[in-house]
Amino acid sequence: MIKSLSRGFAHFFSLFSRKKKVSLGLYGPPNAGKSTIANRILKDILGEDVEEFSVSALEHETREVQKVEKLVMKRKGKELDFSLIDTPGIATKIDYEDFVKKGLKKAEAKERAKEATQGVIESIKWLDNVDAVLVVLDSTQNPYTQVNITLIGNLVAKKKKLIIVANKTDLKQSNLDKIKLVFPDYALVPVSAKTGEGMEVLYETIFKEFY
Amino acid sequence: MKQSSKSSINGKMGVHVLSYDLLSELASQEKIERILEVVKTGEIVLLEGRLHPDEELQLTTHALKSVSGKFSGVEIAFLSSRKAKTLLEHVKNSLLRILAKDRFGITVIGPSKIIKEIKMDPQKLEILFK
Repeated sequence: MIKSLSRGFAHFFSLFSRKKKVSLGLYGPPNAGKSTIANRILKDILGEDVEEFSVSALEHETREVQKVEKLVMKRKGKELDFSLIDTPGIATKIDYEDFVKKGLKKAEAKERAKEATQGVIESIKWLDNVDAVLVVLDSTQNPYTQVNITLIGNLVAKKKKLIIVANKTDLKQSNLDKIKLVFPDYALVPVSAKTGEGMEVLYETIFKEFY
Repeated sequence: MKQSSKSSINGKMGVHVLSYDLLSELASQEKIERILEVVKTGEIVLLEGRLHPDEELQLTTHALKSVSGKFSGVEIAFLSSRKAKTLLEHVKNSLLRILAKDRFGITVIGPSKIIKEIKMDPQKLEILFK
């Protein structure tokens, strides 16, 4: 009773606060550019080049959930205190032979596959710890995949707020219409994490959807 | 109607067809174990209806926990049998979904050592083998 009363008061006062705390997760399939977007967000907030999150053309470069805390984003007198959580790409399969085909030695490929497998499992567990999610999709790839549908279905079922970030719009093959067609019910922001194009719109949308 | 049947392609690959009724009697954990038991033997499971999104994630987690030299996870795809084109169809489908839950459509789950990719389209699935 006392607990629910204090929660009620906290909620009441939060309505008048200009500050909000959010745990913001970056989720999506492997190689969609989650870590590049995370680095870009850090650069824009901290005002300096940071390579906090490792980036590679090889799939499953991020094999552990990584968190940067105490970040602040400001817009029109409002303040968003947030932690940024970069997660390993969600996949239903990981085969070390795929890494061998891309040039890794067998032992190295097996180790990478093992770490990647644990990373995906950790990533799935972390879904319960985030308040809001940027679903990062590679706009040059077909968005109609079971991984994307399962991920978004789970976010909706868990009542998490989400924005779809269509990355890699600087590439010729980028197809935003297809993403709009497959996921018409969610806020969609096209960006190029590489060039920085669209990031301002993303920040505006974060405030609109998550604040 | 409870049904579980098995057929083969050129005597090499088995396809297990599991009915909605059969699966609906099982708890999520049992459902996932039953599916993975078949898939880990190198065969394909065809489900009537679809798993709950949470069950799909649980299936992914369990499959990845089983990854070894011989098993590298699963390919999974769902084909909906009802795509609304008009508002009336949308309302009708929503009502049917409430009444029949996840019964409509089919789900294909197979071992990724055998299935290279399942190309999904709202109207069709294309299974590409290795």
